[in-house]
Amino acid sequence: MKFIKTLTVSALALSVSAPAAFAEWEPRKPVEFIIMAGTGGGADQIARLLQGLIEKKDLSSRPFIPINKPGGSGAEAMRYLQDKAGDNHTIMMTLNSFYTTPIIQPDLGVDVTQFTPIGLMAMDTFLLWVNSDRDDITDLDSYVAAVKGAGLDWKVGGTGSGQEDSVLTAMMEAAFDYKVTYIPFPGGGTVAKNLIGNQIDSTVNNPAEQMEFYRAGNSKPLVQFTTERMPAFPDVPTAKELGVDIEYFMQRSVNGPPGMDPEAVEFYVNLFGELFASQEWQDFCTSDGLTCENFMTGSDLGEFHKSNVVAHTALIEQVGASAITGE
Amino acid sequence: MAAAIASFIGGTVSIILFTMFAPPLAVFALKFGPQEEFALMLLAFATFIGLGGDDIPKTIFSILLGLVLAAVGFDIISGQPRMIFFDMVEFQRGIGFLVLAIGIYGIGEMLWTLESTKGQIKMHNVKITWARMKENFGEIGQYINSTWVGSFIGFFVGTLPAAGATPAALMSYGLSKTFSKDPDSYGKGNISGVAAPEAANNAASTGSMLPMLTLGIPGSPTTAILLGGMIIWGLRPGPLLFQESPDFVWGLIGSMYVANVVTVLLNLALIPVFIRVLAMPFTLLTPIIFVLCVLGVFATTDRMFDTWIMLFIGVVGYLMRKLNYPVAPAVLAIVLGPLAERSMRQSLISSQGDITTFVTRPISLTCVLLALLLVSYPLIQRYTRKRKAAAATE
Repeated sequence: MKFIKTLTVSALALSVSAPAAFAEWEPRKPVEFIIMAGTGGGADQIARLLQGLIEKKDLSSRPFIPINKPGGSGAEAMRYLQDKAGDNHTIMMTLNSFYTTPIIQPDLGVDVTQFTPIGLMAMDTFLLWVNSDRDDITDLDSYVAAVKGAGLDWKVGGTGSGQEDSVLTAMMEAAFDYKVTYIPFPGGGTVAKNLIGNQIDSTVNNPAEQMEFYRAGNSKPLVQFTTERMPAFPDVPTAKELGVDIEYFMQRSVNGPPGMDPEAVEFYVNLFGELFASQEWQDFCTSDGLTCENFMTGSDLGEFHKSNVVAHTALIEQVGASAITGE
Repeated sequence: MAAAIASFIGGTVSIILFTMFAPPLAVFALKFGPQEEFALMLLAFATFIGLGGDDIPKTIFSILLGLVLAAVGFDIISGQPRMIFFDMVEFQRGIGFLVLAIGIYGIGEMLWTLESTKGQIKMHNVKITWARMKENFGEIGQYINSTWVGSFIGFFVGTLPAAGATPAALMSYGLSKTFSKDPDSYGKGNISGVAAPEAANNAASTGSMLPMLTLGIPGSPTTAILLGGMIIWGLRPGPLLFQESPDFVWGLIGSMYVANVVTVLLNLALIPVFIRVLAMPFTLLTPIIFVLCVLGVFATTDRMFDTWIMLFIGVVGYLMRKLNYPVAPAVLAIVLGPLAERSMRQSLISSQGDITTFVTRPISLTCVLLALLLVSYPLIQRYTRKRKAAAATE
């Protein structure tokens, strides 16, 4: 209820300040849809699906162009968006490195709470995956035993130091008291491929990134880091069920650069709100294990970002920034 | 003409390979870990040595310059900013391949041509006749070998996730130049120098469909767009796609055959139009090239900063040409540098610093040995030539 109330209040406030300008703003040139991760990963798949739906449903008179900027765990993308302050034709698909990267790299000079929140499309999560060739690993206990046996020879693939999967890997190291070698790859899709090719021993991938390999019987999930079991993975236990206190979610939200015009924000909020409610998006959420229950936007999303920055600062302090960057 | 035909051959060879061997090739692509990727990059760098001509130290300098420029921006593993000249935040975004390539080949070449011809260059008005076209077809024999080289290299490099068409085209150019009977004529009108990269370019774009369809990893921006399109229609690229949606996959492959034929027909039919550009006086062409260079960089990067960098690099490129430094290796290094750096560091992290990791894996060992062979080839060649010359004077 509070959510709807804030929404109404902010909508009212806005309508008073600029009565006729609403819904009239439209992009005047192609919109750059920045993805702060590499091709084939979860964020990339989502952004490209959304871009296709915008075109299919004819929601914008100008095209949305997805551009991957995966460098430095999203640092490149955030720096880019920061430089675009006041630009109405650049938006970004974000994930949790939106919070973690600026904390680990204070030199970057980016404050994410200054960005313009547009809409939260989904909450994603992670599972722990191994190659299905590993007959010796059937559950969490045998996994932990295998990792402890291998020591630093155990290779975990991820998308970069400071990315959410490295945070999760550090959380697991702390919980199970082992140390692994963490190898960064340019995107979740490449991580998944390297697990199937036996170049690495385990990953924490999003459901969407491993789904096709899982269906083909190339990889198997051991644990999910959710509160409850996802409908897409009814047989995989949660970490909580196994007595391990790790729960981790990843936000998938669209944000703009600092200082966007309110008319433009209104346009993007309406557009992504419509996409969120579409059958295609909801079907994708179900099949890929995403939670898409409410479309958070405006100041609510801003508050959500703020609380996540606080939570991640605490988390990184707890596991230690050095455990994440591997230095 | 040669470009169109080489392109067609490259495209066709790679579609046939694709049609016959897609599933086993997907398995092969999985065998490519960071070590193999690095070894392949090493092989690519080795082909550059042949590129630069006889002056190997100058070629190495040019490669290093490219590598330094490629390192500007964020460290790809730790994400820390590095090589930020004069502490200017603008450098955090790095120096793009496009900025460098347009600077060197656009502005640099323009300045060089202006100086060397003093603006007095004469363009000829080429007449297209059936007789000339026929004659051109007869010349296929001259460049067919480099076309085959380009086709196969292009396809295999293209199938590796994240490699793409640019390294493939550059590698095949370097290779066909190294093994050419007349390497000095490359870049001065030898048609094989056009045929090899054209064939490779087209073959690689077909090859890059492979990781996209079978692994769900797009190897190029183009396949990334295709991937998005497929997801909307409920098709999920991955190992099961060939079994679950055979009508779609084979339809797609069929369309590639058709597209290839249509492209070559269009290219041949439009030659008379394209060739008109050659009839334009150079004094008119120069300002057009300049405007396009500036516009091109600004349009893609949206920053005046990159445009200034491009102009600056253009002047550097001109000076390099004047001092007889080869420029192509610098351009190649900026494309392959980040890929090589990432795969090398990944390999060393996973082997915990043990450098033998590159020679204990079969595919990687083969690439390393081939690279050594390629680097030493020009030296051996020069040695045998000297001996022959010595024998002749005796």
